[in-house]
Amino acid sequence: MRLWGKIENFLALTGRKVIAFFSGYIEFQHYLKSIFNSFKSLKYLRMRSLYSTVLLQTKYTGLDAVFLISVVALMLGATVIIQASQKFPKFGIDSFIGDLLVLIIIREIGPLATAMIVTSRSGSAISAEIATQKQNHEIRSLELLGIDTKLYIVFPRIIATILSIISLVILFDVVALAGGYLISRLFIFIPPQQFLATIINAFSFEDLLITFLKSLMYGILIPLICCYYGFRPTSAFQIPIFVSRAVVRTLLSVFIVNALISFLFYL
Amino acid sequence: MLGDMENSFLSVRNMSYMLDIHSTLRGISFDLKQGDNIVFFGLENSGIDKICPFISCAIDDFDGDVFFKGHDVKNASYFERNIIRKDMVYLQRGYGLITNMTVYENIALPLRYHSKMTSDEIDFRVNQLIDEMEIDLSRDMRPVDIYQSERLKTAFARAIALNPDLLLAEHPLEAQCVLNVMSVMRSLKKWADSPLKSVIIVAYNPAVFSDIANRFIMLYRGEVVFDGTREEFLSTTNEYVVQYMTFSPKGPMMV
Amino acid sequence: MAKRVFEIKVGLFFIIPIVLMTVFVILKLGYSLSTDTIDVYLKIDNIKMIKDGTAVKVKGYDIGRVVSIEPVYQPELHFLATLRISDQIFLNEDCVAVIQNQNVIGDAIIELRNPVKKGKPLQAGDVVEGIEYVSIEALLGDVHKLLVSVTDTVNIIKDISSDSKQDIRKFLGELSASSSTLSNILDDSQADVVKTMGTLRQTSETIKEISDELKKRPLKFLLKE
Repeated sequence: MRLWGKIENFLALTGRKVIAFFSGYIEFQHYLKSIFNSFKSLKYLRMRSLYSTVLLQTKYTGLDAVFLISVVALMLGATVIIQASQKFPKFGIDSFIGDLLVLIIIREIGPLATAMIVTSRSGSAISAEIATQKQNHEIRSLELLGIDTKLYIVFPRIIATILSIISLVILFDVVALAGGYLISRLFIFIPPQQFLATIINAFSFEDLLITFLKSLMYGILIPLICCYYGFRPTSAFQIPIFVSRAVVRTLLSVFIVNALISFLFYL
Repeated sequence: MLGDMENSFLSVRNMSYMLDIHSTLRGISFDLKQGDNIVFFGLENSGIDKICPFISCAIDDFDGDVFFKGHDVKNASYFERNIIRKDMVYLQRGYGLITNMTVYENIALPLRYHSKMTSDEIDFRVNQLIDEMEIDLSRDMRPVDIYQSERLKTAFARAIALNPDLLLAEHPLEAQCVLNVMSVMRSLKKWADSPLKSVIIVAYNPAVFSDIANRFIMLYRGEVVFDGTREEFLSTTNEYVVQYMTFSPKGPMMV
Repeated sequence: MAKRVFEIKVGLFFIIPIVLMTVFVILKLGYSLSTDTIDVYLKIDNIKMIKDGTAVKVKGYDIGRVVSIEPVYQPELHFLATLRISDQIFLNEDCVAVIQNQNVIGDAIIELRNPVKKGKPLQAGDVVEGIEYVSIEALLGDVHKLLVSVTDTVNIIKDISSDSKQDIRKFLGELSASSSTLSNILDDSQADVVKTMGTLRQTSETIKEISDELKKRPLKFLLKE
């Protein structure tokens, strides 16, 4: 009897989880649909009304993250070079180092680390901001002014995040490569021109395209998911719960998308 | 009948809502001609708090119909409603100012979003409203940094920025010192005096708006218990109104 | 004013990465930021060793890179690689392009060499012949075959009679020279050619045995039955 009770509990728990997953999935689908529907409002929308939101969001997501991104990039670039110089043979490393940096930093770590930093900094902020605005009836007041809130709140954040991530990824790559070069000089001397030449050789336009594609995808995903969780709380005490959920699920999505893109283009 | 509703400025028919005993409306109907102004008043649970959300369809799960300038507001699509709301502005309780925008940006928001005005024209219009509301000193401050009266002035300026035809004002003077918001009252009076503009005010203190509104409606338990002109309101012997205006516990209303 | 500064900062935040990316793309396309470039064509029979981005050098100095490779079907399949090179280096129109490896694992490079006799300068649109083709992989393959054959031969020589003492001496001399050449090659490029190394080691041991024997007992070795 007790065993049956345990089985029953387990089945009920599983059922609840599955139902919660699917209802969450359906809700997110509705949200996406409403965003797409909101694009109909674009014809009524004057882009200038989004200007200050885009500007503010870019400042917070992009400009204010430059220092953090630079430090992380420098450390990661150095780490890659140190590992490479320890594990790979010394001969021919000058021509190999370009491939290694392009392979690891530009293709993978650059976009991924940037997306993670943006999610942790700005994704959580976006979620918390929207949730607070909702609690303060600001979102309702926008609706009452005849403003399409989905478009007005989500759209400028997507634009700002895409632009910020693209800029940050480029800065990340440049700092990581420069940092990697400076650290590599501790172990092996490579003339700067030769280093630059090997990087240019190793880097292809396909890499550039994929980096942009990843930045674009993250730029859409991060604000989209974080805004979704920002709209969810129905009371103030739920705000931290949904903010945390926004960050975790966005990070998970970022990893999945990163793997998918790499799988599609490099395999 | 339907044709009359479609041709009127604002027509509300059989507005009913039943959630619980405290949130009820029972078959409220009224028409508003362009240039007319109404004050709704009554006890906290009388149903007056549902009037503005229902007319603007901020909440639309009620029975009945609302027609504004020939548009069926309740059955309008999301996009049509957004367009209707350019002409029917709702100044909600608590004002709902956008906290990450300055006073100037809050007022400029509907103009930037809806109007075809140039930046200079918007700047001119916003400055005009800021002067009218006497909030020049706080123009670059955010809502959290300004006084309650300035918040009302900013919200009012934002509401009338697009020069709408109908203003729904929900408890505009709640937690306000009337002396501090004289600029709003002046503006509201000017607004109400215009033959092309209308205002529906929901308030607990209707007497404050006695020289603004030309019609007063009192609700009790979701039903109309008084509906009269300014003169009728001021000289009424309606026991509901008398009890309400004299703050008396004795009368037909159970408090 | 504060908003203006703020807008400028955000503007710079976008412009700087775009400028960096543009510079990178320009360099990737083979253009130089410091000097003007010209495009010349390299005619080659196969493209096994070169690709887009392969460096073009003169005396080891980087002067440009390959920006595209196009096949030409007539009269028989060959390829025209576009070399975008600096116009600051004087090159003759009849210069030659040597495609070679820098070392075993490095990418190939194209080394342009002027002829001894100076002629007209190389101009944009001129075609340079890729006249030499050195593949380290092919070379290593040949070396491997050679070493196997040499080892076999030496083993046989060890067992045969010393009828041709003179030949053995000569052979040993040549073997020593080729061993030294191979050592040089493999010093330069420590490739993953385990097989080649193994063969070389085996050969070296055999040579050492013969040399030691010859040094200790030259007469006995030479007169060995």
